[in-house]
Amino acid sequence: MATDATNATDLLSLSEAELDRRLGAALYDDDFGAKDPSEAEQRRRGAGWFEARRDQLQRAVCAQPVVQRYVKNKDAVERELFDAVLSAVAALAGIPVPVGVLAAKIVRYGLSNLCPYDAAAPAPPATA
Amino acid sequence: MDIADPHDPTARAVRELIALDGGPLVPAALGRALPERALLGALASLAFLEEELNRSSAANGGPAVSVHPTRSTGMRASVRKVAPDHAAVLVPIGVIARLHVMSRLLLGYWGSDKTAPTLLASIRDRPFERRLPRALRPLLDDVDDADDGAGGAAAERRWWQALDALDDAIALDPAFEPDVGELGHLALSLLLSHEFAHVARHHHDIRRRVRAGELAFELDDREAQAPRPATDAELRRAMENDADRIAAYQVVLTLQRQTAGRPDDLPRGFLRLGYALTALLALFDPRRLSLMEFGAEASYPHPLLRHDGCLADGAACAAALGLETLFETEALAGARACLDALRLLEFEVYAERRFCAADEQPEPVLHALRGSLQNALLLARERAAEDALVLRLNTLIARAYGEFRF
Repeated sequence: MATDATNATDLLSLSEAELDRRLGAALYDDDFGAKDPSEAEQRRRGAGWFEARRDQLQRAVCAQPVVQRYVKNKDAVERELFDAVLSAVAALAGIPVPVGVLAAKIVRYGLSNLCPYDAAAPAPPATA
Repeated sequence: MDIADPHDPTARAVRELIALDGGPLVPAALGRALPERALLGALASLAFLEEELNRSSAANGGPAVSVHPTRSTGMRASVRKVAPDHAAVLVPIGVIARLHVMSRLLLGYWGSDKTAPTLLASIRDRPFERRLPRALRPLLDDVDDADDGAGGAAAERRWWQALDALDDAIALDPAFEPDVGELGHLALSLLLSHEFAHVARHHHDIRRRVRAGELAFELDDREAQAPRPATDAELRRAMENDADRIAAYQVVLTLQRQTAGRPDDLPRGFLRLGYALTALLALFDPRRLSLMEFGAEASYPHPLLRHDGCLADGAACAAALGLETLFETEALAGARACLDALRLLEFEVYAERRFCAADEQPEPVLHALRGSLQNALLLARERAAEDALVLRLNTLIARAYGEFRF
C-alpha cells in the first residue's frame, strides 16, 4: 500500500491513541457486532493487537539499518524513520491493518522502546 | 474443535480473536453482581444456543458455529468467520452481567401500582452527552474510557465495583429469580441468533463482494427514477434488519420447540420474550439518540424501529404456527410491561432522584425506546424504508445463495 508524503505527514501528526483507534477500527472490519464499537473499544483492540504482535514487529523493524542507527545515535528525522518502518512492516505477511497507520504507531510508540539498544552489537552499515 | 489445539489453524484464529476481545473468561475476575448461579445459568444457555445454531447452520449447509464468553466488560457481542467452514460468536461477560442486573432492576417494577408517566419524544431531544446518574453508568454506558493506558485491568476492576454497587442497591423479591434467569436466556437467544444470522445469511461474503464491485446492491432513486448503488450504511442497516428478522423467527420457533408438550408454558414464554426484547434494545443503545437524530448514515436502525420490526416478525412467525393471537397478546403485554418499567425508572431517577448522588443533575433520558404521537408518522415512514431495504437484500440473498431454511 502506497503512503505518499501527505499521508505520512498526516499520520505522523496523529496521537498514539488515535493511531491505536485506527488500528482497532481496521481489526473490527471483519466483524459483525451487536452495536458499533465505541472509540474506547477500538483503541483497546488496537493497543492489544499491537502488544500481542510486538515481538514480531520488533524482529522486522529493529533489523532495519536506519532504525539501528537511530537507536544508537538518535540522529534520524521522523520521516526517514517512518519510511524505514513502513518498508519493514509492508514486507510482513498477514498484517490485517493499514501498514501506514501501523508504521506511524511504531514511530509514536518509540523505536527506542521497541528496539533495545545493544552497545555490543556490530555497527549498522552506513547508508547514503 | 478443540480450542486449545496448537496445530489447528481455526482454533488458533479463535484464540487470537478472543485475545483481542479481552481474553478468555476468568471467573475469579468477576464481581458479585453476577453470582455463580447466574453465571452457570448463562453458560448453560450459551451451550444450548450453540447447539441450536449449529443445527440451523447445518440445515442450510452453513459453517460450524462456536460460542465463546470472553472476559471483556464491553457490551458488544460479535461474530466473525475465522475460516470458510467456521464462525466464532463472542459474548463479553459484560453483556451477560448487564442483562442480569438490568432484569433485576426492571422486574422491581413488576406489578407496581404506580402509574408510569409518559415522557414524550421531543424535537428538543438532542444528541448531546446524556448525563446518566453515575450509579447507572456501569449498566447503561459503554466501556470505561478513562484507563486505556493501564491495559484495561484497572478499568475492569472499576467497572465490576460500580456494577456491584448498583446491584447492591437493587432489592428484588427472590421469587423473581427464575424470571431473571429466563429473561437472560431469551435475551441471549435473541442476541446470538442475530449474530448467527449474519453468518447464515452470508453477510460477510455479500459485504466483500459488494465492496469489490462483484455484486450489486441497488435501491430505487425516486428523483433519478433509476436504481442507484446503496451506500455502505444502507447495506449495513439492511443486514442488521435481516439479522433481526431471522433472529425473531429463530427465537419464536425455538420457544415453541422447547415448550412442546407443555403448551401452558408458551404464553409465559412469549410474555418474557416481549419483555426481554424490550430490555435488550433499551440496554444496547448507549448513545440514547432520539429517532429524529439518528440520521441516514447510521449503520444500525434506531432501537424503536428494531423493536417494532422484531415484534412484527415474531408475530409473522407465530402466525405461520397458528399462534398469532397468543403471541400478539402475550409478547406485546411483555413489551408494554418493560416499557412501563423503563418509564418508571426514568421518572424515579429524574423526579425522585433515585440512584442520584447529591451533586448530580441527571437528565430524563435513560433509553431511546420512547415513542409518541409526535413521531408516530416518522416511525411508520422509517419502518417502511427499513422494510424496503431488507426486502431488497432478501431478494439478493435468495438469488445468490438460495432461501434460508428454519
